[in-house]
Amino acid sequence: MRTVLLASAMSAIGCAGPTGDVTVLLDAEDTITEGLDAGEGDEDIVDGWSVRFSKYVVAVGDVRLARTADGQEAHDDAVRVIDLAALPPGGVELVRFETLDAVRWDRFEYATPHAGGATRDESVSEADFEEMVANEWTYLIEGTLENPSGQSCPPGEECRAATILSFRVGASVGTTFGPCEGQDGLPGVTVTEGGTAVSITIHGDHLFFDTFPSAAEVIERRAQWLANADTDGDDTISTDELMAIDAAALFPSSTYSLAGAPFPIETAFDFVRSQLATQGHFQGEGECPWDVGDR
Amino acid sequence: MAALIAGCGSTGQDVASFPIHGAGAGEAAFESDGWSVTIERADVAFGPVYFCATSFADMDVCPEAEAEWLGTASIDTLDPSPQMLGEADAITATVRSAMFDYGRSWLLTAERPRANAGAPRGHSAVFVVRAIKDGVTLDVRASIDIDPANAGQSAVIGAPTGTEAIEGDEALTVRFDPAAWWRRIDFDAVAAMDEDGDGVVELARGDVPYEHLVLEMTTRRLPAFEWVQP
Repeated sequence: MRTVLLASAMSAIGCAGPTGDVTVLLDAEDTITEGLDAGEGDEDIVDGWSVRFSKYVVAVGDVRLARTADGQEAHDDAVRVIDLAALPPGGVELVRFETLDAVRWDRFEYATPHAGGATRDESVSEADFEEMVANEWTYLIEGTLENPSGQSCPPGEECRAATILSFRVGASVGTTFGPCEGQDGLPGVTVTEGGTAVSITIHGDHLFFDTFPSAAEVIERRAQWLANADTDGDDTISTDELMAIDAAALFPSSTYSLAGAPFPIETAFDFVRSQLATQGHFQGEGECPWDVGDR
Repeated sequence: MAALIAGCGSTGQDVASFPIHGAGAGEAAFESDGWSVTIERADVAFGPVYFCATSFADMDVCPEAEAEWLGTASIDTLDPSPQMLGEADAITATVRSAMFDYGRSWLLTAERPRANAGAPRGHSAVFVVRAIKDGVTLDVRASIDIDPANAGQSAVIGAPTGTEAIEGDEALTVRFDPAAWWRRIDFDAVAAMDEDGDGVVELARGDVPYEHLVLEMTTRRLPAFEWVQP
């Protein structure tokens, strides 16, 4: 871990004043730790499927705090590969910045880059970590879909009964998030003398959005598209299957709106990568503009 | 919908305007998997359009437009010459992206999306395409409807416009490339849809070629925004 405080002339003057520490926590939305249920509730999946994640591994870090007013910047370039599905309630400490000026730091940014160069958290097996590094993945996600009356209907093929399907997806989608705003709309972090804790929150349900996030946030969650991606009928959906399916055959415009994606969506895998690029948040539901480095 | 800020005197921004034109890319014929394809009609509805300061435009990061044109017009996208659509209202500011409708909008006060006056036959796009292969002639028709996902939202979000500092002395041409949209259509698959053998196929929502066109128009090959200083 390398933490750098880039002190400008202004920040040197500022050191005479009160200071405080900032603890940056990594938090997982409960859709990751508890899954998504079938139903009509706000975060339920509306087409009959429930989802549980057994692994939700992400490379995350490269946290940056900055003050526009005087140019101060605190940066920790460490990246950790961690399994969000195994996070304890309240999350874990990702980074700690010490003795920052106790004022408002209006820019908070972080990244979900490739796993190369990252360190492995104990929640991630060595085999998974090595696979992520070798493939330059940002995410490794495993889980199951379950629907007592479910079907899998691959494009151009007959539907078949499928009540339990598993999926395993590795994806490279290096993304930077920020400047982040809290749910109250305030940008960044207010550092206090008593210490301040803020959280990076990774959402888990964007994979099942029927559109891309917008202010209206009238978004339904659907999983039938993923069930339909089991083209070889082995009850397991793989990255290779997602890469081989034309998105036009899987996401009908009567149900899905794919405008606003970070990059053009050619295949189902592009849809997965695009949604993964949007799910970094701040302090729960706070928003962070995203920028995908590898489109 | 995003609203244009007028009278931003405190930030030194002035009211401005600029003309918006629509145009095609100039290509109507191409070869694809042995098919000789000619696009005979490609009328595309465009508007309203909102221009944003950020490179990614959505309602979170672009609640207020830097420029807007609230009209809707049908563009003959087989014609590469600029066709005047209207005059955009703007402030002197820099724009980087746009969100727009393909002639079908969903107002906050409406229960569902509706076609705007100016949309060809009430659709986002009307295509007539002839494809010939091995003596077989196929006439393909498609009336595409592209609706916003939510009320108060545009159908296309975050379209790159290039970085343009609006001063009021520029003109904009929005250029569409229908041949690019059709080039990767599987015409063998379309021919297989001609169940009555009359050589005519009308694409409908849910057909893979129809959905392909929707994705081409909304995520894969967005129109190009070409700024010209007179």
